Amino acid sequence: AEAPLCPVPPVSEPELLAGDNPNIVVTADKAQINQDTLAFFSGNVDIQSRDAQIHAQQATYNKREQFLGATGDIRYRDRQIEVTSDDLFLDADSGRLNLRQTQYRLSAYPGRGAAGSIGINQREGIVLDDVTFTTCPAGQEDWALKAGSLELSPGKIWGEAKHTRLYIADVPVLYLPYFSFPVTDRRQSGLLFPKFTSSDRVGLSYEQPYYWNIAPNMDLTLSPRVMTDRGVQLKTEFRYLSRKHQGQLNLEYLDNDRRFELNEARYAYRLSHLSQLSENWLFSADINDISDDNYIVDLGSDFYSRADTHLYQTLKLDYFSETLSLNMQLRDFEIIGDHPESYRTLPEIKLNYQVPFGSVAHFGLHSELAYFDSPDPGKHAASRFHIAPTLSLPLSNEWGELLGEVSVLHTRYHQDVAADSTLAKNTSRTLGKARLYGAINFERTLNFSGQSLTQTLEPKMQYLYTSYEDQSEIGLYDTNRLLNDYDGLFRGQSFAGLDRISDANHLTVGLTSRLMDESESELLRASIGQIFYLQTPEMGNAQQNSDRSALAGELDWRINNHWSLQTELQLGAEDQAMERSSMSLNYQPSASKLLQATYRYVENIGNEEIEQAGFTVAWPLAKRWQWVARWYHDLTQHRSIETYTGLQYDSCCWSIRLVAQRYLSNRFDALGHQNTNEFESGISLQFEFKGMGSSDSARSLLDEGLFGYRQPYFVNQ
Amino acid sequence: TEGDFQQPIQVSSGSQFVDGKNKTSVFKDNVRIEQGSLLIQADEVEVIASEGKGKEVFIATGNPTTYSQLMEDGSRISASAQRIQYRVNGRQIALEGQAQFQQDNSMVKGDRIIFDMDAEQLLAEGSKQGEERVTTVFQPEEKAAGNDNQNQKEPQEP
Amino acid sequence: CGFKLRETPLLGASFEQFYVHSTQPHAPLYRAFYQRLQQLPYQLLEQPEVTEPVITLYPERLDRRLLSLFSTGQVAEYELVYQVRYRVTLPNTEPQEFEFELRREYQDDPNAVLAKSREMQIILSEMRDKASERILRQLSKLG
Repeated sequence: AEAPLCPVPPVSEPELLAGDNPNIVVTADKAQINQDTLAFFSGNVDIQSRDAQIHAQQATYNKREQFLGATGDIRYRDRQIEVTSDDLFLDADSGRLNLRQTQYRLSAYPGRGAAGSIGINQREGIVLDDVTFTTCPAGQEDWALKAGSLELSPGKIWGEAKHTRLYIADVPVLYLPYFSFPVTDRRQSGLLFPKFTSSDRVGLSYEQPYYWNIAPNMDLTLSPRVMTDRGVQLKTEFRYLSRKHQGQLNLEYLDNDRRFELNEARYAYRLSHLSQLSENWLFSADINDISDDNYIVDLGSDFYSRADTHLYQTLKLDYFSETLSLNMQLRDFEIIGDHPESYRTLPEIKLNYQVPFGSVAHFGLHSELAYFDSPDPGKHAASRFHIAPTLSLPLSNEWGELLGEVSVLHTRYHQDVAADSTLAKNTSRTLGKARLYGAINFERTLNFSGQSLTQTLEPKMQYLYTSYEDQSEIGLYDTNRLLNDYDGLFRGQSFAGLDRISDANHLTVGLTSRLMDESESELLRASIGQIFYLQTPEMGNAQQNSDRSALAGELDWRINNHWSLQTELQLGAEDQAMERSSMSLNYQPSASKLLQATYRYVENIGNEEIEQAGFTVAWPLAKRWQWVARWYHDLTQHRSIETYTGLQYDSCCWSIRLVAQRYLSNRFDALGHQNTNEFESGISLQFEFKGMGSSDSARSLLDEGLFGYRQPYFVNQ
Repeated sequence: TEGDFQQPIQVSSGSQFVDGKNKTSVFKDNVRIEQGSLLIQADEVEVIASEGKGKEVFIATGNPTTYSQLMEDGSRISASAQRIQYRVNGRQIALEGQAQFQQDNSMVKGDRIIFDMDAEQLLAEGSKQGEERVTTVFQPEEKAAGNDNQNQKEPQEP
Repeated sequence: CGFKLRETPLLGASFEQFYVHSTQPHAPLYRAFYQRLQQLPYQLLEQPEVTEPVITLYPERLDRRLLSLFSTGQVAEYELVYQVRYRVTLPNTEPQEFEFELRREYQDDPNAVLAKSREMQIILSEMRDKASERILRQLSKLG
């Protein structure tokens, strides 16, 4: 790998006593103790306790008054900080250790500097007065903070400075009465320190987080964001963590946005919460809402992508035990844009019961009760009860797997429809289902240019029978057709949800082969599979009348250390036409060098044909310059949907990033429609202090922009 | 304690050899010197009485030889070393060679330790060449059983 | 052509009996992995024992990345990236941490949001089953 740009001098670990050892051990050339209370030490004095280690030329310790003093090239080290000074004393009643005229270095983090005095104490943490702070290496102090005081409280990931002057190349450029910055290298929920960005969406924007540690397990971060073109947006993040409850509440509020066509306040809120009510009961909430459809597009968000179509609003209560799981949910959605309102379940209750049946078989009971309604008057309400007892026989050993499953699926509906509707007010459906799945693992070793590889051959077969019943009297509430990629072939159901259960009498055949090196990591994995319909399904795809499904295949091939290829395809049965295919070719010789070409084709999704190709490059131009570019082109519409290029200069303790991008604007007009060929472009400049909540540049540049951004879901569903 | 020094010194041992001319005597195999609460045990003790009664010098050697005594405040001192020299009228005891000195809840180890019993003052030094240094271990003050430990201010750090 | 049935046992000898737990109570991955283990001839301990291996599942993480756009600029296809992290402590050895990612494609449809969230559940539970297999395969290499 490349030599590190900024070698950080290694921080020597302090030799501390074991955690349970309350003693204080002093080694010296000479020691004198009077009346077992007043001790004088001299000559290379080394004082050790479980919390810290001090080195000095002379030290005095008064056992009764708990007073310790030391002088002569003092070096103090604990787990957080390393200090050199020439005068130290322990102030007994406050328990605070004071050092004067100091040079210091933080250990978990490349921050260092000088301080008139440093106070260290178990409860309040570290207080540095008349302090300079920088993360730049010695001799290259491109920037430095000078502050009246800097506090590093225990357990807090932020440092808080007061009366701070920012010097860039020894020129004072900024005065901040209060100023907080992350002092751990863990990037704090995407909040960069402080963000100076400029883009044509918001103009010049400066975001300064204020951190308030309300209690050991609660903190509040207020980040006013001043935007020259829009005004002041307040972003707040409240986090709480206790043994039983944890969660995070984000509120964002912009009073009047000068560039917003409607003059209303714009806000967004997000609550993600998890409580363990008791040994078996869990409660969780994932509530998200925005004030208008263009909120994310205009103001950006740390949580949502501009291309999102909906936000989750879910409340959930779960009960788990060894054999039983009960799951009660209220599930609603905030739809973005002028799409019809969706059905929501108020509530939806699922009960799963799983218990061994005899020595090998398992009896399972899956049942559901759901009440569907929708704010869209055109959508009638309905309630559904479903119960599916299943008997399954799973057998597996090292070379194979056999699963037999028999189940009955009974569903009852009460649909709030008018008498003349094609849907029935009350109806029910009972289907039988049988599934037999088998897989065998064959292996052989291959010698390939001196390397011994293992190749596996894994044939899989599944017979599925599901009885048929006409379901035209049942409405569609939570059902649509599933994507049948290779993994979907063996799923045993072709619809998501329960309002349609397709009849089936088919045999699925699949074959996977893997090539693994000595350490059993996969060099190549290829799979191919197809469904053979012994009887054409009544509820199959309308236009597909062949006796077999699309041929689905996938390949994941690590050609060598630098090259890798992933591809997936589905060939239509009758005309061998490509229904879906995707390909990604990657050349990655090192962490900061990447060339990637991707191609995607989907014959029909949301009755649109999609054919898009993308090209991504990340390349270091010079020792400190990293360039990233990404270009996504829509081949059916003959236009590029994202052109993104970013250039970042990385010095040891600061970085500046210039990003230019042009992308399809999916801004909604007043009627909630999106015109389909309006583009937006923006240039954004971002200055960042490295070492403070910094991020590794090559990686983060790749993550920016539309197609790079990786967004977390609230899991635990 | 002060009372010890008025007490007579008793010496018991397996065997004894007296050199009347030079006024020295040598005691051997598990020798015990007692004076009030003061107790020295050693494999061999040489007593030099040349300066007359009350000014004897005891030189005890052993592997190790030990010394213990009760102090004014009731705290007990116990020490050990390769050689212990006890000067009766100087009320001073000198330990040499892996000397270790324990009092109340602090302990000192070093090459040479000199303890002045009157002034209750201890001087410890490492070996000349500096490889063996003086190590002192302080245990935190054990609180009297009565009050609860939490609200008592423990010494935060050294 | 040299193929023969795979002999290496699913789990190595040192995994006769072991303890599995997750840092978050009743985590979905833990339930899927526990259910898969019950089909195997291994004894799952109620409490951790020093002489037996301990498997700790860390919270799972699910990210999504854009793959393609509709003509309106809204997302057509996502890539779901499911990250699994777990730790294995064999008796009197240093704990080892493992991490891997599984990727699946998922098509979005703003007109059928509830149905799409059902599809997401199906894909997620399939990924958890596949993750359980992957953990088993990695454990079998630990011997």
